Amino acid sequence: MGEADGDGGIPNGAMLVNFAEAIAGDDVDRLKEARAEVTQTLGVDGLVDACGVAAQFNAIDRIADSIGVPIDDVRLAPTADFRQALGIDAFPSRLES
Amino acid sequence: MTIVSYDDAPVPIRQDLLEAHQRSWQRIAAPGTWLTGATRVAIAREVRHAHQCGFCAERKAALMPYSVTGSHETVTDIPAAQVELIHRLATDSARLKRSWARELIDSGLSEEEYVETVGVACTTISLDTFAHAVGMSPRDIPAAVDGAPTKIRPSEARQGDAWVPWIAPEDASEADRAIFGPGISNIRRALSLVPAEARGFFDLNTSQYLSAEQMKDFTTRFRAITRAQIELVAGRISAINQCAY
Repeated sequence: MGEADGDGGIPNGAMLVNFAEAIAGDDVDRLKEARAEVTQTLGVDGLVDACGVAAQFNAIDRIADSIGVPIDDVRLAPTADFRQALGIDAFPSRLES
Repeated sequence: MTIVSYDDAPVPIRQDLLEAHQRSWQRIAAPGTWLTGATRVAIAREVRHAHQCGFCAERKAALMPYSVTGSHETVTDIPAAQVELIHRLATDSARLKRSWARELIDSGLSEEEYVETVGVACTTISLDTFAHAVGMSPRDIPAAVDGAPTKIRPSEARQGDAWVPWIAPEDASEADRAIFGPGISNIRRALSLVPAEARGFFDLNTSQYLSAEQMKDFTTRFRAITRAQIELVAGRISAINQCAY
């Protein structure tokens, strides 16, 4: 699953990372608490937006992986350094695309 | 038109998102390009069941999933190759391989059926993940709508770098240039062997994430959360899913 630390310099980033992890995980209590925190901090509209993004990317990732979508040529060079730094190039899906 | 109720939603959901969900449910239940409404609804049921499949759990836990043998526990009469696609996509998509996809297609699942199955399965996953995230139970899958699939394959689709044929930027018709033409990212053409599936999924994308035009605009705030916050959630989900794209 990987490690996430801090907020990446983004307001309420750590909270949103926690929410994303809770959505992807199996701990219903963690999700309930994370949802409440997002609602209290960002409001109902913010909660719904975060849910929509998480939902869409949980699906779009699987499209990319099951169709074998290669990273666009224009993005290869600009992303080379952090793909390597973050270990993305070692993902099985990267090796197969 | 409401075919799936969201009346029990614990929070107000913005109207455009509700309407996008209704269109998605409608699409799932209707005859598609290669699959009947009944098959599409069965795919939705099967993808929902995948996380209860013992064989899938065993393979997910294995260091080498392709070395684990067995049979899926299913809730439909969808053919085995399609079940394998649906269940693996739902439970272990990060470790899918080109050779695996080719084996499914060589076993009798057509490339077009493969793509449409991916589209329906992933649409269902998106709708279900939203419900899970916001605190609702999964919606009742609507009844299948009768009718024949259109069986129209885009003549401009050809094999490129992906595992299945797609519409390359230079081959997009005039009508489809804005959707599959030059400057459009690979993910948006991923399902283009079945254009209706590609358009439908990215219709949902517009309301749950951003439209293609909105994605290029980093200064306008389109949502209650900022662009940076949007991309943080998107990135974390993708990292958890180990999706390199």
